[in-house]
Amino acid sequence: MQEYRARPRERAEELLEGYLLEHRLKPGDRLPPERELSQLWGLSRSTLRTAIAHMEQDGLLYSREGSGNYIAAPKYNRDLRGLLSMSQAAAAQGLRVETRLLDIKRMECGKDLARRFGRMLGAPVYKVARLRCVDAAPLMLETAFIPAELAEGLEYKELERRSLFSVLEEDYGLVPEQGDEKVGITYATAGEAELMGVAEESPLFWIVSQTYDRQAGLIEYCRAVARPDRMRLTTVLERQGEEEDIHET
Amino acid sequence: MRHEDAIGPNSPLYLQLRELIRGKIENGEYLPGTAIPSVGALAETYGIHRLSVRSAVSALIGEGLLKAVQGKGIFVVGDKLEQELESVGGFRQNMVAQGKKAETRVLVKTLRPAGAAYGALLGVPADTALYFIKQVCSVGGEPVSLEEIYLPAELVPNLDKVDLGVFSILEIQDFYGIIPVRGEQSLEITQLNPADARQLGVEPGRGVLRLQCVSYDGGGRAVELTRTYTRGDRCTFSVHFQREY
Repeated sequence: MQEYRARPRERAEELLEGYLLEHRLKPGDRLPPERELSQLWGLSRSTLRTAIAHMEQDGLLYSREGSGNYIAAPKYNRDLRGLLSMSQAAAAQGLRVETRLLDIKRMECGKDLARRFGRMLGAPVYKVARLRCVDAAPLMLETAFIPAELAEGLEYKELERRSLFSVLEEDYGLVPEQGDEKVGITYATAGEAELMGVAEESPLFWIVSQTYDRQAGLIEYCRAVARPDRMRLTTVLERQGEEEDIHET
Repeated sequence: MRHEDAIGPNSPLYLQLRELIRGKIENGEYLPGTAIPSVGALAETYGIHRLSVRSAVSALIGEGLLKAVQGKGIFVVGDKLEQELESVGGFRQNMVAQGKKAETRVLVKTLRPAGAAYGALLGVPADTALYFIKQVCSVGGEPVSLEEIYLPAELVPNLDKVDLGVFSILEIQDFYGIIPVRGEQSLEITQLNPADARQLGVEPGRGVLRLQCVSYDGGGRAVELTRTYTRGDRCTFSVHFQREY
């Protein structure tokens, strides 16, 4: 079997990752000085710095000029199969979500939306654009489309205070029962960059979801971008045919 | 976010052209695998500046809808490959299921101690021996993902003698009676170091999707840790969810 030596940078990242896990460092905790760590692991300062910079970019660490490197706030975990609203899910993780309603308007379906919702060209839909912030930091920009006939008067609901799904369920009897979600990468446009507080062209999650009610069919089609340094997407998979699952995550 | 609904007659011309080209790809006027008209031709057709055409085209290249081939032109990229997050199967199974031919090239196959990081993730002591495999998966000759796989050596003792080009990790585990029944997955965006970026054929600064999966057998023992780095322009991940009562 071949000899394998990890590259110094890979070794540095692995050691840092191990250090965080082993010492159970918490958000806001300070990492030992770079000098100390590079001596401890026999790494050059520049290799260690490259590794730290990479972890900063990934949202695991942050640095303060002249004072060192710190453990970043935990990422928001978006459970892809959970149907908790974002505010419920965040609360369970000890985070607070705020929603800023950027725009809500009634518009006519273009070709693509009409096809997606199985409606005529020009059928009315609501377009709801919201900026979701976690602990006051921008996290996700969502644009949702909802057939207007299913939710007449949606523009008068308190969409900054209530989740869209609970409005749909409680006020319109639409139950978000199942759906699908696609995830990829996109790059921030100038407008997205400004709202999200990132540089233009920086990578963002691109999430497209469709949610269905048993009777009404597709009730919401949503396109979102999210900051990858503040969010991770998770799911637990179970092989079918096994007995009752254990959903502890 | 695709703001095509917000783009109208007053939007900058390059944005209008971007949406026009996107529309032609979606309605099949520009077919996957074929070249779209040249920058010069588009500029002439619509009477706009070549620079505007270039920015429209490069935005769509960035999204993975178009691909520029030096000296040949700008081509429409076919449907993105989709990986089902729900299946416990490996890469090969996913791709074969979609009728695409997948190849695996092993870069590294070695024994190593778990160390603090992988020990913690797999729940084993730091001195536990792990097999570490690093491989590139390609579809149709193009690299799609880079996989780093960590397996406790005592669970798959003769792994070094197995040809990973022939058998998947899942098949090998099957030989040893190891059946992963549960996987905890997380999807993040990260950037590869220059050497890994080259293997995957992406620019080092470009974001890639990182899927981490820790698999467990029926007894709750961690049997595998996999980190899969995927080109964002070649793959999307999809998942289906259902409310539980």
